[in-house]
Amino acid sequence: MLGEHGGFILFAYLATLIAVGGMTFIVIADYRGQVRKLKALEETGVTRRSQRSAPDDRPEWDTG
Amino acid sequence: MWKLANPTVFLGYTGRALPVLWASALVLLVLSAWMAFFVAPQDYQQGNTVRIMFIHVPAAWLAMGCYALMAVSALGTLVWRHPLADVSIKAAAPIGAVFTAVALMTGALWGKPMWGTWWVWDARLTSVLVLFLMYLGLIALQNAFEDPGRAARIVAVLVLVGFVNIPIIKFSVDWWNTLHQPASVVRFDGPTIHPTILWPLLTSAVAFTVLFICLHLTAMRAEILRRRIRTMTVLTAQRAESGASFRPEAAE
Repeated sequence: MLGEHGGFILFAYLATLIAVGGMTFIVIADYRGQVRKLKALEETGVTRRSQRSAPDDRPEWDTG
Repeated sequence: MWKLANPTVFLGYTGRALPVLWASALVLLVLSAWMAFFVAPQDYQQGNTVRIMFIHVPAAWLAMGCYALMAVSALGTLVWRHPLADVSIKAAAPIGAVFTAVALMTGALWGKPMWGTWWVWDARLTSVLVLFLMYLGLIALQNAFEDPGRAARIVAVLVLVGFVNIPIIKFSVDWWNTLHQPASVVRFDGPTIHPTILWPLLTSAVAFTVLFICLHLTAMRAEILRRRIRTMTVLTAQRAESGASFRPEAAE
């Protein structure tokens, strides 16, 4: 179907599928991991600054 | 735009948009694969290997587009101090690195049957390799600092310095002799590709772009949560160290 260079074509698509699919898996797994960690932290009673009335002692790099 | 500067607002908007975007990306990727293999004809010179173009070209466009996005975000960090700009850079760098790697890899797999070689040290290929190395360097630099705020400014400066490579990549095929073909889609006088091949290419480009948007927004959401967790952990540790026994309800 793909002729004499079919191996190059299929390998190109397979490699792209692995690279992009792997990255997609890692990005989604990372996000879900952070959601789980945040939920576990909040369950211990720790809350964010925006949920408190305490003065802003948050480091400047925190964008939350 | 400035409304989105609030990470909580950003999380709200993206949380609603992402399911639709992910579904769109999946549909478009399936459609583009079908068009690449069953709609697009063989090229009269390159035969079936032209099908590699449907992944190589969008990946190369996104490799450069991602860096351009990082450059705009770097301006956001340095000039406007937009709170999400640094998050955008950090989230984009690994995605840009992967798309650059895909462009290099598929380029080699296309080059071997068409040029007779996997690689040549000409301006286009070398400048894209430099882009890949720049992505890796930026990722390493981001991870070298414990203070994300300090890393943000240094990384932003480096991103802007490295942006000079983007026009070099784009115009390298015009400025120097190369095995790589000249631009055939993004040209002042219009595309030179036949529509039967151009449309599958554009479909693939749209599919890859929607996928990139999904990945970038999801990675940004993960980074925002990571920083929240870090802040909460640091503040908890600081309170514990300050002598007062930490009571979770005291943080309310």
